[in-house]
Amino acid sequence: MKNIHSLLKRQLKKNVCESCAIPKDLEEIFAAINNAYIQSDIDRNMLERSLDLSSQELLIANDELKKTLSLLNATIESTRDGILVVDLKGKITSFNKKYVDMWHIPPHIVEARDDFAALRFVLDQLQDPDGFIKKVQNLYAQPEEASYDVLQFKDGRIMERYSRPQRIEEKCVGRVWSFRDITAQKRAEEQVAQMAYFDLLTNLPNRYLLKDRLNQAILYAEKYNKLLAVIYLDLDDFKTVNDTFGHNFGDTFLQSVSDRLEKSIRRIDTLSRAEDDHLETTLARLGGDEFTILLREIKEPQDASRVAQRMLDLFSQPFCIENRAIFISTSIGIALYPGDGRDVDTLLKNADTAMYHAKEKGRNHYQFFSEQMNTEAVERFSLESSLRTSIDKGDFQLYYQPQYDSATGKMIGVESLIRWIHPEKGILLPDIFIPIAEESGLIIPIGNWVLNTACAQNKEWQRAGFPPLYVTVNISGVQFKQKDFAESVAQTLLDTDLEPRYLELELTETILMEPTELTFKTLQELKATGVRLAIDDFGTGYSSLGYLKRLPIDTLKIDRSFVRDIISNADDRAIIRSIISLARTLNLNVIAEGVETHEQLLYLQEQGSDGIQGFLLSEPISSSSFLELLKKEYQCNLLTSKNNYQESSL
Amino acid sequence: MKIDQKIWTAEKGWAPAFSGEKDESVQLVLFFGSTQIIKQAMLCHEVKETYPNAHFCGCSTAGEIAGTQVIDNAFVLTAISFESTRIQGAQIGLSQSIDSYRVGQLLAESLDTNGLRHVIVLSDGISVNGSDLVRGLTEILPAEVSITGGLAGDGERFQETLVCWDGHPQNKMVAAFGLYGNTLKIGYCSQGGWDPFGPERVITKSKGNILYELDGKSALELYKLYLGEQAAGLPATGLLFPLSLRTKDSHTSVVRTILSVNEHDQSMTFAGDVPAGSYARLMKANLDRLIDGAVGAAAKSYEAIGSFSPELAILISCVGRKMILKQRTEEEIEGIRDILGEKTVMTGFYSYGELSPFHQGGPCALHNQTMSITLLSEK
Repeated sequence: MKNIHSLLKRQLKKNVCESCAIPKDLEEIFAAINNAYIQSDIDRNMLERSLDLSSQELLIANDELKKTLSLLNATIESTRDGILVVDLKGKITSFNKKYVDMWHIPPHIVEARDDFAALRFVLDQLQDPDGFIKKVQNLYAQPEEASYDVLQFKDGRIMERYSRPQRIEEKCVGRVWSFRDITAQKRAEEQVAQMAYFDLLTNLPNRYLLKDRLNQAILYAEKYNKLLAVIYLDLDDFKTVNDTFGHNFGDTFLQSVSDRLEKSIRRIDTLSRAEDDHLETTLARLGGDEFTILLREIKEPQDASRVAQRMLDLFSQPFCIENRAIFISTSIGIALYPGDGRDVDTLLKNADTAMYHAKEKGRNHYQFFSEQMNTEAVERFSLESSLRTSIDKGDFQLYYQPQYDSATGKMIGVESLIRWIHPEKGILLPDIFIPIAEESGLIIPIGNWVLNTACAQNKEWQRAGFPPLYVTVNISGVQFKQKDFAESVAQTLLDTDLEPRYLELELTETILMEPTELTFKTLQELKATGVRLAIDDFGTGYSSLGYLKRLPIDTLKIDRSFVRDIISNADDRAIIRSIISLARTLNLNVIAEGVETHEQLLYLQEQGSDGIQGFLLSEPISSSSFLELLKKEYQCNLLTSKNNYQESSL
Repeated sequence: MKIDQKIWTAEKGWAPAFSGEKDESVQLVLFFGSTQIIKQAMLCHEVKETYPNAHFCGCSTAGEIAGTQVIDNAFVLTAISFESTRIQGAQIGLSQSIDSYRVGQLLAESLDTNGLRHVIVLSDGISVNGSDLVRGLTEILPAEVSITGGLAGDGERFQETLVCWDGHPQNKMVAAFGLYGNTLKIGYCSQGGWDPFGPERVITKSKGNILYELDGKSALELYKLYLGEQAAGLPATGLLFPLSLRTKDSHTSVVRTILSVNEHDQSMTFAGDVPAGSYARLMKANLDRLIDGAVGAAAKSYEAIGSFSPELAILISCVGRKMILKQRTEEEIEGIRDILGEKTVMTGFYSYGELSPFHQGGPCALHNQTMSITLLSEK
């Protein structure tokens, strides 16, 4: 038999015969046995080979796995995010150091690999622990869901939290959480927002914020029919400062200017607009040496020019920087809504143009965009300056208009009325210059002069021997609000030696309508001095009757507007009747002003008005003319020397 | 049923011999033989003469089963006369224009469905795509009709397989016949006994039943590596390592074996589909486990038919098992005999693939490396 298997050979040798010859009749079976042995070897070899190869594959796969695992670990540790992997039952299967650090998880919890323990531990650190836990519970209940939210920590940190299901071949086996600290990012965002709207150097609103606010202000003005003003402010020759002293110095200089402007603006706001937050004035820096002021609601263009003037005045003082005193002036342009534009860009452009005009006109100056405004402004300005001079020069005169008793026709008093003898314009009536005087504060010296002159004149007439009359003086609201007003009145009486009962102060209804402590106090003080008090232009205000009866006044002067149309207007007649009736009830005198016709006179006499005043009887006349009138009235002889009474003594 | 079994071998001729008389009661003759022998027209002629009324259905094999004998290079015929069961069959050839799927459909369409209980399929073993064939059949046939059968073999040569229904046996042919009638009892089962080993590999490149790559590398190279010296015996030795296939979503697997190998494009053709994305593992066999598998298939089909000894058992076992079992091949047949009883007439063959449901009532599938048993009984 060929190819005898070694085992069979051995077996034959051992068990049959040395020479291992196989008998012929057994050849087949031995061949079969031999084949079986051979085949068995082949089979076993194949199996062993399979085993070896499988083992090798396993080792290679393991190696790959190790590499992958190592890569995974390196990746998970290198990310700035905190990573946590949990299985469906809450066992922590993987995490990185970042996660532990972020949440300050102590080692024993980490080792326990218990997600629920870790959760309990971290709850304290959160601002909304309930919401946090709820989210986690929801996600344990819905393992297929992904999630994203932002966590707020008690220590101020802000973290993004993502999670996704962990899958092996589409089957969900757990969840991967990642946490990212975005606190710095959020802060940066806030800072960017800040930088987007605020100027870096001065912290003032920048162009964008200004435009935004201007837009809002325009909408407001449009809706409520208001005026607003945009004021452009440019520093004259700022470039020289930069060139001479360097840019750092220039920056510090700008900051200093900005500070000064801002303080002033804040004062304006505090004085005039304390109640209305949204009406706050905006001071912005547009860049370079340009500033803008947005006056969100003005009553009249003069509000803007006043602010502009104030700004100009601010630059009269030098700026002290690094021991240097630098003087700089500014050119200012004013654009008004709606006159000079109805949208942001137009207003800004026109304010800019106006500013350039100011520069052309010689700097240190403000200009309105509209020429008319400029003209008016110039006029007001010039009037104001002349007013100042006139006070010094004594260009004022008092004119006098008599009041008569309506029953007897006798003269009972005289109203003093101021006139301004302007060097160029001639005689100017009070309604032209009194408002300017009130705005500029010049009313105080003027008012004082009037009071003094009227008292002195009245005393003069008394000394001349005429029967005593009371002289009435119109008092401006500004004067009345002075703390020492009553005192100054008392002083004037002393100075002029006039008895208080021969002085009547006329206050408009509007002044008295402010029921402040000061109003009452001043009235009491005035009453205490003994002077008479009258409400001028009565019927034009909105006094409450209850309030009226508490005022210590003597006279109501019916406004001329009611008198004018007595004959034609039944309502006016009714009003007059009621005013007179009211006066009766309150025990007050009634004087009707503006009587120009006989019919008016008759009616008023009929209705029982105590006194009458008007052109019909006499227009306001100079003191010398009044003297003549007095003479006629009383047919007395007068001491001639007293005629030379000088009127202008301020 | 009345069943007669005869075996022809070159040495002994017919055993038992023909009496010379015609038997007109036989309705179906099942025959299995080696490719060479079937080609001998003379034998078939003799058979047809003796049973003039019978349908003539059979195929070439990788080994014939008669009783508890497993024989090579023989011709085994099993002549059956049914009491009340009717037969109807057809054959359709595979060609360029008619693929395995279409053949399955056409065969199914050719069978009358009235009273149809079971279909037995004998298919070409090399050119066919077994899973497509099954798909075509199951698509057309009613759900309650069960299908079993096998792929013809060609020893260990893998060159040509012959199949016929009533014609003369041809290559690339598929035959099927249906069994009709209420009295017929049917049981079937298929079981393997192979175990997967080693890592699960992903089929990364394949087309139909042709495998190119596993895990991105040549599948053929992998086989050669594992076969070592035996690689020279491909494709036959490929049967030593069938593949266990699992689709992505399922947990059940099927077994696939090689039918042919192509060195040019490094491809391996399997008996059924090897879809890309499926997970494959190599399998190994243990003799005892294989025998246990056969015995298990017998026990389950026995139980399925009603736990009584059936009249006829058709055993279709995979050539791969024979290659492993070698001298002990008959042990698996003997094990089956022990379960079914002495009276059952057993026939069958070693195939290149088996067609059967996994268990009673399930859908038919292509298997490899299994023992697939069909039991038929009229009483």
